[in-house]
Amino acid sequence: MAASARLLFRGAGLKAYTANVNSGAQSSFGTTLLRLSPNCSSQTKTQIKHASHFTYHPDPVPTMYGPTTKMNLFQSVTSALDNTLASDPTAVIFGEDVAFGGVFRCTVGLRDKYGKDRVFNTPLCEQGIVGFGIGAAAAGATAIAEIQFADYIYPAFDQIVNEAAKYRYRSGNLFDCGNLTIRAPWGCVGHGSLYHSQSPEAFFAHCPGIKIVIPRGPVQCKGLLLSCIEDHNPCIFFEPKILYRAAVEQVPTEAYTIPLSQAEVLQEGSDVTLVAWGTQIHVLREVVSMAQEKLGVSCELIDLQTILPWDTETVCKSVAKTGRLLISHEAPVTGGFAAEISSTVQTPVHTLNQTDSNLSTMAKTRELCKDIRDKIVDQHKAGMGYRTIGQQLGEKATTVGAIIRKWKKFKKTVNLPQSGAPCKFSPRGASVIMRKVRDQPRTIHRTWSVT
Amino acid sequence: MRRGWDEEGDSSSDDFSDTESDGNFPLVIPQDYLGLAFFSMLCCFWPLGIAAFYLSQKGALRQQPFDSSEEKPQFPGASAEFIDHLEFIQPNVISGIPVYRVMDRAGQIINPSEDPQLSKETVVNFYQKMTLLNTMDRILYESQRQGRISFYMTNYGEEGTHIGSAAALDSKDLVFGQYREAGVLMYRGFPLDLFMAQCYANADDLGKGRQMPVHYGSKDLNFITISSPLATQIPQAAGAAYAAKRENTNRAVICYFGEGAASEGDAHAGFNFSATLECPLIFFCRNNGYAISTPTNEQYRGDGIAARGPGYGMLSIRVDGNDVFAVYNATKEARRRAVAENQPFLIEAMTYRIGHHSTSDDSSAYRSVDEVNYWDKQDHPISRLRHYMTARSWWSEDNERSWRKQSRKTVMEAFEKAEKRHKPHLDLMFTDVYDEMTPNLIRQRESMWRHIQQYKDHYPLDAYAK
Repeated sequence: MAASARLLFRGAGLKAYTANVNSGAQSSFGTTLLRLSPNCSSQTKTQIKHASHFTYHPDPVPTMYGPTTKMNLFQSVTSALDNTLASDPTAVIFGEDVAFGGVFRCTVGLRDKYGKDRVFNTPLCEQGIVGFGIGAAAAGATAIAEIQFADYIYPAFDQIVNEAAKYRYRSGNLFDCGNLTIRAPWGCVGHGSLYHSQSPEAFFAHCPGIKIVIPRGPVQCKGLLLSCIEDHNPCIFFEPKILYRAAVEQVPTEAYTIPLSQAEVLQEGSDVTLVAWGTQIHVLREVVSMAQEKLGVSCELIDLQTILPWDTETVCKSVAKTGRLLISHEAPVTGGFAAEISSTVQTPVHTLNQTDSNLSTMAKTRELCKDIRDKIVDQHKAGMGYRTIGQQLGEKATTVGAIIRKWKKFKKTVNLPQSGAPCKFSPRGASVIMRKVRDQPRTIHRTWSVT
Repeated sequence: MRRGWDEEGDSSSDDFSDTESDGNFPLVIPQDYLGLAFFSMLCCFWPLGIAAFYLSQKGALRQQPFDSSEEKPQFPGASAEFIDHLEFIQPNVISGIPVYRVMDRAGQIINPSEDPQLSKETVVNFYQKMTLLNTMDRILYESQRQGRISFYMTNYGEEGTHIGSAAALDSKDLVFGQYREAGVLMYRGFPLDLFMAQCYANADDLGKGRQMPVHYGSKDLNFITISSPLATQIPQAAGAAYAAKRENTNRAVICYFGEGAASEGDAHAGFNFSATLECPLIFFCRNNGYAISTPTNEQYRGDGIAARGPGYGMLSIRVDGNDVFAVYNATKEARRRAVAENQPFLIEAMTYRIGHHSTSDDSSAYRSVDEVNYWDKQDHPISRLRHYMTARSWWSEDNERSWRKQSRKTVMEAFEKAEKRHKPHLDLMFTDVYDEMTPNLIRQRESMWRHIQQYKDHYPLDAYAK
């Protein structure tokens, strides 16, 4: 049992939402896991002892960006920076120790190739590094700042949150520092302890005006980093340091971009949506195959990639399909970014497609939930017509009309059963439902066909 | 050009400087080995050339090659002499860095060779800009007291620092300010309408009505928009100056801040970065005696801000901020050398904040009225310049009267016009967070409009631009 707990809950502070696990299923769950899979049995004793084990899953070789070569994550960073310095004469790279190649070898060879005025060390001062970068960006240079570890980004918090993020807004778009990109090694590495392992994305996610991007591997890293550099907003690019050497893929040598704010569905599934970013993607890949093998559960895996602004549409669409969501990240649970994702997913959002409005009930007829009804009434009060309201919420105009007429007559939007009015469920219907759910707890309304 | 030509005993140069500069420089023997090698070979003095070349390759990664046979410190961090008795260096607070001035308090030139000998038009322009600023300050301060604008900060007593320094710069030099530099913008030609528009946050505001009053900005006049957090502009100015250096367009950057903001970590960062990265930057510190209520003896213990410059390897000067010509001379020379030599300069302009910190402050709570009156009556930049002009018959009582009337009239006209304008369009609450609106911002904007449509009786929509 101890082994199973470790295999499932990796890293510090895993955030998980699980639904519909009843006691009956759990014991079979546990015993299944004690039978080690072929993967586990081939591990040596020392490997099993490490709590931070994960297997890196490389991306397939990309074919649409030209010739590729084998690179690990830090080399893909170097390649992206090389492409940038070659094509953009205003580009400069600076930070602590970047001149000799960087403590993680991300800038090896660039100073010799492009000159000491373009790749240079700064004094040891993060608030200075980011402040300097903001000024250089505002003056028109492409500024790529390196913070040596994400754990040390906090002295620059004021410059990032109060200055970089607000530069364009506060000046009425007279000035901006969109040319600024901040890179920092991020995340658990095993031996990093408190100050070489942090994932501070949640602190910055609360700050509109910046973008936060975290890649899962070399191909994504180079494309996303080049997108960040090109993007006209200040970007923070966190590089999972444990993947610097461990992640090796075939990476295109030419420049290419991967769009920001677009989550990627890595694997389609039907029973539960898994969301992660960075290193945890590889952990969850293993979870996906284990869940399929041992539990018969089909998981849909999404790499969020951009934390801010994040792709709500892809995640919500997926959860609307599967009905369940599990988010896994390394940072502390309270106030972690999983809280933002889960609260957004659970808020009824009227612009989503109409299947979401059906999530709220398993009624015989498609009874709309109270929030949608209230929204209809609000929009009517605001002067919208029935057809427009219907189009916006994905309902028929006649339904909208009926709800509004009822509201006008009774001053209520809810359909409370009134004495004499028939209950939506017949007693037989109710007992059928109860029997089915008791037998198969993971029933969802779509498996249903009650007439 | 390397700095240190004019300083003694500086042997810190190790890199092979690629910086090019215009301007005349004396022929000096290069202090780095490689330079010496090429110089020697050029002179056909081969033995020295070969030896220097060998040493340059050997010492490429270090300041100078190790040689423990010499009784000189070999530390990479510092290269002074050894000393054999214990002695703490005294911070020279009593007789500190002297204050450079050109005029005395009565507006008389002290040393005629220091008189910049500006033309009558220029000097009259200085005077008019300073007094126009003063007039605008009075009117806007009053308007805050009457509830017409929410907040205001006056520049009383510091007009000389603004006008003197602004006049010494090129119009394309980038200005990073703190919040008490409206005179720089006024000197450059920012119209009164736009000053007012920003304070009233109306639809004409270039900043789209998003910030508190006095947070001006102008792209055309190369004045970076002011932000409230103090000293954040200092490292940014270093970055901008570095970018300007790389552009190689003879552009300098000036960064204003007060003596209080100089205590911030960002100030230290900015000084250090600009010195190590060799940026063409002028740091202009307005030491006006107070940071809200905190006097300088509670702000620092050393000899002001100018004394910090040498600690960073920066050329520094202290000037009389109430003497327009002293400010002008110092800034002009600093600008010339900053661009020519790619190094930062620190100017500490000593002045006095005659007004309150802002409309939220009542300075009688922490300083005496007598103290304020001394500076207002005995040592004011405007009156000193006026004495200078009247001594040359460039400005008479009639000029003064008619100018006072005219400046007041133009300010009042701009003021009345600004009051009547609409506030910015409500959509502008949501734009410019990013370069393009994100989906959730679009949703939030639509939600706001729906809400406003529904409860329009509760919102003063008529005040806003359609």
